Amino acid sequence: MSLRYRTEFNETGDVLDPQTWNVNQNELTSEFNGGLDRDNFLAPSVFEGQIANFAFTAIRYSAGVALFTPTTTLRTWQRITGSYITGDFPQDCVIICEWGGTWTWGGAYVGTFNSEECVAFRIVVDGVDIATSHYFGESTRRNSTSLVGAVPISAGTHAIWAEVFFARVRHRDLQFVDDDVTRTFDIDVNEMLVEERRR
Amino acid sequence: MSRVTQRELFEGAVATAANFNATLTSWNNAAGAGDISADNVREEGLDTRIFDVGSVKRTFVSTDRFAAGSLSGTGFTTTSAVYVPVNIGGNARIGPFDVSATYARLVVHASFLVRTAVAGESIFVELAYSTDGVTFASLPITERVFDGTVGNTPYSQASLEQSCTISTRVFGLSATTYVMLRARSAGGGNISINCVSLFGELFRK
Repeated sequence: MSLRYRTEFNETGDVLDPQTWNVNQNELTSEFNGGLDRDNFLAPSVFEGQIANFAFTAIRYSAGVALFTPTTTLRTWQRITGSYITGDFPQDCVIICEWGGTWTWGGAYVGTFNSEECVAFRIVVDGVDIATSHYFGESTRRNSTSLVGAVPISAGTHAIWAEVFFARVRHRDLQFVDDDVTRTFDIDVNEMLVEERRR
Repeated sequence: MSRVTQRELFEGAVATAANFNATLTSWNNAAGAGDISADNVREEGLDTRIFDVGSVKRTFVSTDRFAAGSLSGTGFTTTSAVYVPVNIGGNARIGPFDVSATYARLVVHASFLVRTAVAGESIFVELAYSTDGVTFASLPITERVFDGTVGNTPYSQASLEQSCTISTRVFGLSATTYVMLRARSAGGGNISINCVSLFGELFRK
């Protein structure tokens, strides 16, 4: 509230009453001690230098510069080194997570008319996936992927990372087959970008 | 301390100068230059009206779309084996952005569709930056590569067509930072970049 009225008025000839003074002072004090809001400020009077750094948005980033070679024979999701962000988030917010990178199959093509070796990627926040790619077949030796997902999180410590998964996938219905993946695989440059929208 | 402590007066008591002065001193201490702080403001009491335009984040609006903070276009082809600007009626270049403040972060999104009909050809796409809008240097982390399918699979095909988005951030550069989308063909075969969208958003606070 910016509109404050003196609730007690003194008139000439009055006997001075301390409560008149106290009440009027209280009106101003209560407003000033934590009651100021948008009605008190001239628009648009607050400039960039007066706002605390990262008050509204913080950008977190992790770059995977070094080559990362996951184990293709593992049948679990594997964390991609270099695309890992963890830290303290000071307040409830929405995070927009974007991951992108380039990757390469090693060795010779081993696919058949029935199936071929495939790779998929996902973004994980505190162990929960928020975005997952489709399976990329080995017929494209080198390719690039981009993923984006958003999720609200509470204040506190959180971890965000990207993962990779390998499987031999049937062409006909995109179901897994039992054969292990045998080719090697490298993830070249990759980067994780997190926009922390606090307000 | 930005809070005011009021010295109350009581009926029947002597109103001493100290009582009045203590209250006034408290006001002086709390409301002087630089004394007002977050303690004085109501929780969620502020909204967009009070903030100067561009004080929190900025995008660029310009009559010249190729000098602005965002652009879109299509129809680029090249056979160049070295990186060249993606030209979609003009080079795909955005800026200038003021990334000189230590807290400023320029987030760039570049979406595009790559295509080649040359079997086995590879398409390289990257973002590059400049501090003068003329001489550009690679941002190696943003390089994305797309191989055309070679004829060794049961489902072999000569052409490649795929969309992708590069998302990255830039900081610590000059007050006149530009970003450009570039591409090259690894083997000198004809490649095309279409459906280009390049957008920069400068987060300042």
